[in-house]
Amino acid sequence: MNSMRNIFVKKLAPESGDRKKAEKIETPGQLAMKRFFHHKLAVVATIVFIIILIISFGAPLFTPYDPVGMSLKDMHQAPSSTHIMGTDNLGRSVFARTLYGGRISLLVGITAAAISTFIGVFLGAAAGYFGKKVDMIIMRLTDVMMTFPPLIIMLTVVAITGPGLINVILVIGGLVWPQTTRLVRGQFLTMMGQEFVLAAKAQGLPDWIIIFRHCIPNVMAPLMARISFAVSGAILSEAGLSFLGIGIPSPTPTWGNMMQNARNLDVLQLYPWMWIFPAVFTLVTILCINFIGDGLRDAFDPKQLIS
Amino acid sequence: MEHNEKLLEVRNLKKYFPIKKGLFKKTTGYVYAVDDISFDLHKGRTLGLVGESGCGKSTTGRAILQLQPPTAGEVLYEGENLAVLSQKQMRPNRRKMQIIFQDPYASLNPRLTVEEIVSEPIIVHKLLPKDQIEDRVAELLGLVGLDSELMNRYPHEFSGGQRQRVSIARALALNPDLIVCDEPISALDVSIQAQVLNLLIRLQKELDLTYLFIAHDLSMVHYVSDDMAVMYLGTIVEKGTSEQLYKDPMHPYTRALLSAEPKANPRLEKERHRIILKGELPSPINPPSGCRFRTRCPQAMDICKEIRPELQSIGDERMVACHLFNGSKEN
Repeated sequence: MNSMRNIFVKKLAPESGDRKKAEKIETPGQLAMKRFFHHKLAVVATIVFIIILIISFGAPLFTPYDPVGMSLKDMHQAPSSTHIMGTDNLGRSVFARTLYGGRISLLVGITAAAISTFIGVFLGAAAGYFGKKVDMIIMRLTDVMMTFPPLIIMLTVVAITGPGLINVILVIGGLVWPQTTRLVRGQFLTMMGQEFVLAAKAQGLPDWIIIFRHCIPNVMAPLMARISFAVSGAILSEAGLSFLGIGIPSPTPTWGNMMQNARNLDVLQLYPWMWIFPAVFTLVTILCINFIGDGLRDAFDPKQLIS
Repeated sequence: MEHNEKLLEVRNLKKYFPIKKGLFKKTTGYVYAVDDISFDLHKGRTLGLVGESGCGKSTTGRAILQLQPPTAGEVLYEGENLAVLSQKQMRPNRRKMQIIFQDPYASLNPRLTVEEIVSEPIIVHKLLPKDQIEDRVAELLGLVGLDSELMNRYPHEFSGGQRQRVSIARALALNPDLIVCDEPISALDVSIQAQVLNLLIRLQKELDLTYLFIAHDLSMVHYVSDDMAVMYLGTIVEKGTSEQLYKDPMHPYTRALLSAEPKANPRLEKERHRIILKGELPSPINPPSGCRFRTRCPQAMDICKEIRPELQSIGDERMVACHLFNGSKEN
């Protein structure tokens, strides 16, 4: 006890001497940016992805050709200075089609991922936060959703509703949310016992403030990785559907329905430029998105230190 | 000691956590985290709640605040039973009681600035008009010994002690009467512990606060508390003023706890006779019959197996739950 008294009697210096030193206040956002830029692969992937976005959405600036305009005298031309990626079986510029096709593929990827993320976060947050019956109902629903083989369901739904951009987006977005729900629910469950959430409850804050202000920002790190997989997954699903001929119908170009040409053995062997270029674009885009997702996950994780 | 008004009465509080097993989540048993405890908190005083980890101290604190609704029993705050209120009905009462947690790294949201953290409860409970909130935050930070210029900083820029001061400021933002301090200093450095402890004592005097001080360090609790209660496996084994308990522990468990504390004076340290308890803390899922401490008690008797000892008064404000004191009961 004597030692304790001594500690208490001692004149105590201020706890920290660095109050004046660190004048610049770094917001968590700025710190996240810093961490992201430390992730070299993610930075390169971001640059490549931005280039793909620019050339896709600004396609008319980069190619004079009409992606749907046929020119039968120019059929099956190998890459040359006039058609840098050659032409397809209807004489259309593969370069133009790849750029315009990127618009559709990226649009499908991003909007479908947005839909599935929105549903997934909403249901996951509700299940994790409220628990009990709400959790039970939502989780059984996701269990049922996850038993459906996605491709078969997509085939069925598209067969009923008919192919088309909106249908493809809705089908993909409406099928892949269970993974996001499970992820968000799991994160919420661990957070419910954490002290800052208990503190918020002890202060009598309304549920929605606790969910949106205290919980959701803290699931951003794993959610970012999940969103990137959702985007790349949706792009792949669209490519898969279009490859099977039930995605977005011709003549609108997408990377998927351009690769559909490869189903023809002649095209596969004799005119590889017709399918290699959209395939390479798909591959590079998906790799970029996954790397960016990795980078964002690390960036949003406050526990990651900048080395 | 002039206060004698009861602010909070806890009556037969129980908190059992069900253990669920199997496909249909059948309840196969309970964790008896808090099993029938009663105590009073007097206005302006501090009750120290001590016990080893896993004995239900923190659960008691959380059950009082209805963060984990009690299984049974009453929590009377100024006469109103909080245990029967729904979360919604509880909300207005939350202003009057706050909690400070053990880990200052986990208790502050890393994504909000100090100003946002401290002002949030004021805004939500509409305590002040908008233009006065910033001044109030500065005032609160000053009160806990932080520079008000730090209010735009984020928690990651603070040390453990400073973070704990921020959580104290947040707890004070609602002008509470009661603060549950859930091991507020055990995660801090020893030198910082003393500062934060003295801050809590100063705030108590200035703001006339009532504390429920939960800790496992007996000397700390003795230093801050007016009254003390010792918990073992979900029950209170001994209760009294902290002076009485510290000087003259009666329950064998309290004696063992006190004997484990090293003395700073080498001569006293040499004389210290340490009572070493045998065995492990029994599981709260399957607590021993009769007296819960009997499996480790050096003075266990036959009766301890059969009858659970009641917390009985043995003279001025002193209560012990042990069969050893059956005879000495003053009638």
